[in-house]
Amino acid sequence: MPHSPSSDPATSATPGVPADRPAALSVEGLGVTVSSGRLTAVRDVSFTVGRGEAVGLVGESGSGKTLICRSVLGLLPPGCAVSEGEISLADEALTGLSRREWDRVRGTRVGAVFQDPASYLNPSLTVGRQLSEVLRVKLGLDRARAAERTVELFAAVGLHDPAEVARRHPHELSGGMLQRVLIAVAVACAPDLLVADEATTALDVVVQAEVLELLARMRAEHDLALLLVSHDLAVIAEVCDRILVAYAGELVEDGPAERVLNDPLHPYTEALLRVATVDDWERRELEVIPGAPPEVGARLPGCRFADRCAFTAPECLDGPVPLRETADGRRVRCVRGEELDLSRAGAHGAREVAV
Amino acid sequence: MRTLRRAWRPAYAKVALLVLLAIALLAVFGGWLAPHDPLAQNPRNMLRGPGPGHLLGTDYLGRDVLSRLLEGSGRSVAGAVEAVAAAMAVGVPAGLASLWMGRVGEWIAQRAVDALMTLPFTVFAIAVVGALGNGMHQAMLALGVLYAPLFFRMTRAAALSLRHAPYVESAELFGASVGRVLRIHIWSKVLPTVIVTAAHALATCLLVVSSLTFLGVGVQPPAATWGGMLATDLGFLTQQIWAPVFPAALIVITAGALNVLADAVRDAGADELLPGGAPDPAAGAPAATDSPDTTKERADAALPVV
Amino acid sequence: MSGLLEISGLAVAFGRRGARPVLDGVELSVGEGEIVGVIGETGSGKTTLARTAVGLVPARSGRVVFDGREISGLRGRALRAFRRSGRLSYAFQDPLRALDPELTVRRAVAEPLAVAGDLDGAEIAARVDEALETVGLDAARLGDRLPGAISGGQRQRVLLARAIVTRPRLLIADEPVSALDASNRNRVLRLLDRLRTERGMAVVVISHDLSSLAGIADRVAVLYRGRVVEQGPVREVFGRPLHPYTALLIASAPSVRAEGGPGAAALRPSAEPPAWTAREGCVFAHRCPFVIGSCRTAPASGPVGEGRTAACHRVPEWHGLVATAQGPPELVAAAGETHKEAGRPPALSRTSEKG
Repeated sequence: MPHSPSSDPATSATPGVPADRPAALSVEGLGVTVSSGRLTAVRDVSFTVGRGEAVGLVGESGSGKTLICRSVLGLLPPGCAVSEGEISLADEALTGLSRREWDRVRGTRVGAVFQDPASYLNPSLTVGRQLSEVLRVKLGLDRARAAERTVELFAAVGLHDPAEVARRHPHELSGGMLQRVLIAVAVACAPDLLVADEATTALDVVVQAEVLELLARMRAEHDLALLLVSHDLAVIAEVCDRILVAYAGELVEDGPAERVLNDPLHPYTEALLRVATVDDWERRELEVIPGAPPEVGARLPGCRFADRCAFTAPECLDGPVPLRETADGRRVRCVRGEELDLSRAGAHGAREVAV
Repeated sequence: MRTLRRAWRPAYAKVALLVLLAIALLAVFGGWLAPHDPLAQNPRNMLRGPGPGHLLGTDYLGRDVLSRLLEGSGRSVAGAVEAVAAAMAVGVPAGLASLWMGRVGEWIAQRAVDALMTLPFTVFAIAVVGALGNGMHQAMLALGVLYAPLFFRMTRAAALSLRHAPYVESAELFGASVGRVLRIHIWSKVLPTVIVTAAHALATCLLVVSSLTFLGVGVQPPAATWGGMLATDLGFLTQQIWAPVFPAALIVITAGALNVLADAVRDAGADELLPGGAPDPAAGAPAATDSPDTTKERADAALPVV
Repeated sequence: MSGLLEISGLAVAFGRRGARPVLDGVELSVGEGEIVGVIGETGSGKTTLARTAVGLVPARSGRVVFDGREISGLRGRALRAFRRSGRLSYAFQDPLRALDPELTVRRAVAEPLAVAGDLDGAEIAARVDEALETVGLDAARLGDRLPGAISGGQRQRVLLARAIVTRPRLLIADEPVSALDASNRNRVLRLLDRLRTERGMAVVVISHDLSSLAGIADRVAVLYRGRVVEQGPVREVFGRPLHPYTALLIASAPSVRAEGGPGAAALRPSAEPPAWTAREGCVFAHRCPFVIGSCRTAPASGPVGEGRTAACHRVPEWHGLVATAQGPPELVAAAGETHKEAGRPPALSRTSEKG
């Protein structure tokens, strides 16, 4: 997978964000509470997505990745709320927007794609009608122009025979085709940012690869910033320039994809890599991460990964671990970060040779 | 079962239960508590309002209303319970069986129920009374048969989604008998539906008794029932405005308490279906807040896609 | 060769006569203590195959022979007796729905033994604890919880405990890992592997994840639209696929190895497929880039080399065709791919499962 040369960390001024890219999305000190404010599920999350950059957010169940992504879209489930921090799109602050303002932002400035496309479409209207409604309401196109544009958009997302597809109802289309329709809706108003939350999780492997290729192409063609959220590191590795790793409600690592995948700084990232899919057809002992992630909102002294980590030292439990920046502009939430050699060449060289 | 346990929790369910308990006591001991002979007529003291001597007044034949209500409560409640019990005895097993009888059996059961539902109520009641003789039990049996399709349908609908639930199939794959499947996996989930239906049916039966009496079917005058008293007293509304109030109040209170209880059972059942499994702290927040299968969380259905 | 489970000429059809069969001419053999993987996309008939094998779905034709005895014809008392023996068990796909929400973990696991009725209460309790321990669950802590109160990974393991409590000789596990994240997925697959080595239990496992499957399976069968298009030892099938669909599946699987790249584009048809492919001939013809006239007749599943079968008219010459288009003959691994190539709209949309 080619990674854009512009994401080379050596040239970047701010952590993770290349100097030549203004931020499309920036999240600063985000905290999210659940259970009506009783538990803090996400804390101290800061990151930026540069214009045209593809950023992947990966984590296990309970890592808070979905809450982070929903906060960015202003679509937190009932009982959950942003308790602190700032979210802004390029120049516009999103924190504290009214419902109506959110409705304007979503669709025009931020597009979103989810795991279950069928539930975001009206089953009794044709998919073409649904997209042209969006075009008419959000962009003020007239009926004929909207219909024309709908077919163009369907063609752009790789739907075969777009005019015919536009006349179909959602139940007549397969999961992969519905996901393409949703992508067309999401990019219809030329947003700056596309958020894909587990968008390919429910799809078959072959269709998943096609949709990932489509997302990558959309991003390249429209200079679209992409925030791809998934529990599957392999999916993120296929598309993203930069990877954010979430664990138990915090970001634990942030860096260029190539570096994170080959030379992880955080032991959790390294553990994720060990269990992730590799093109390895040999019979082998499959790796697991011991233990289970902490309960949402659990109060733990020190590092939240400590009890599952193979490298825990006494200093790990001293107090909350800050997300600190390394010399080469990556970020890691680990007190031992650079002293550990977690790179594939180091800890897992043997496996590399075997392939 | 969990649904039923949860149903007792709200305060209104407890109040309704207390009311029903009081009515059950009235039904059993009402006759003994009657201060006067419920059948003693007094032509000089007709259609009196509440007052000393006759606490709730007298009816058009000068009989003591309080005594008649107390004496009649057993008959009214027993009648309604009898009718509903008959309906359940026919409808519930048939409803469950229709799902395990194979296609032919299912078809026959469905058509039989359709046929029952088309029967005109009064004609059927008169026919049954004609065939079996006039009396309370015969009339209630007729009522029970007419209510059976309701129980059949409700039970069947509740069990239908469970018939091919993976855990039922799984039990069958281990060789579980139909009886075992019904007992372990189906019955406890169908029971709340049956109870809700029974409560509604009981409330209607209390009222229907009066319309039967009106037709001269079922309970024979001068025996008192709430429904019967209400029906006759309505005729004297112009002379004595108080007359229908007390039987009507008893019927309304009983029916209301039953409906409240039924609602409590239904609400407890609905809670269970909420995403995240209701306010069950053991369910654990991690599953509810963030999982790869976010399909279950439709909280975001407000997305401005369409 | 006579295995523990022999499925031959199996056909299954739902609905009206003349409807396309869900399974057609399926042959599958599972030996003692062997792990066989079954892969294929949604609608390929994987689940129907598993359900027909255990007798939940009636076969239109064909035989299912288990341990020398034809079980597809069992009825009434004989069927119940066979089922109560617990020698063949089936782990359902969706652990949340496959467990009665009102039965505690312990009761759910005990149910198969209670149904069989040849053990007393104390023996059943001991076997239940043993089964829970085998799958790595703490019986004391979780035994009295309801399915709604445990995590997804734990539910999956309860389902497996329920399936193995009767000490079956063959376990058919339907997508036991598709709802799990990578670490839990590996944990469950490892468990299946251990059951095989420790108890000699044979396993048929339906899975999407090719690489982790390869880690434990001996053989694999690839299903496409109701037919087994390829079957053989897992490392050979994945390492050098004989059927174009298998190759496409493998090329589409996401991977954390950035250098590999999907290469799937080379295996998708670049031109419009012939009109006849939607209705007749080889089931894969409508998505096959190597389709020729003779594909109009459905290819028989023929032996190709040691222990392998493939149903394709163009084995092995299509390998050469990939090579001419993409470079070295090692096809997939080497078929480098860029996003520009991926952007061929018409080709991407041939993903409808509706046929």
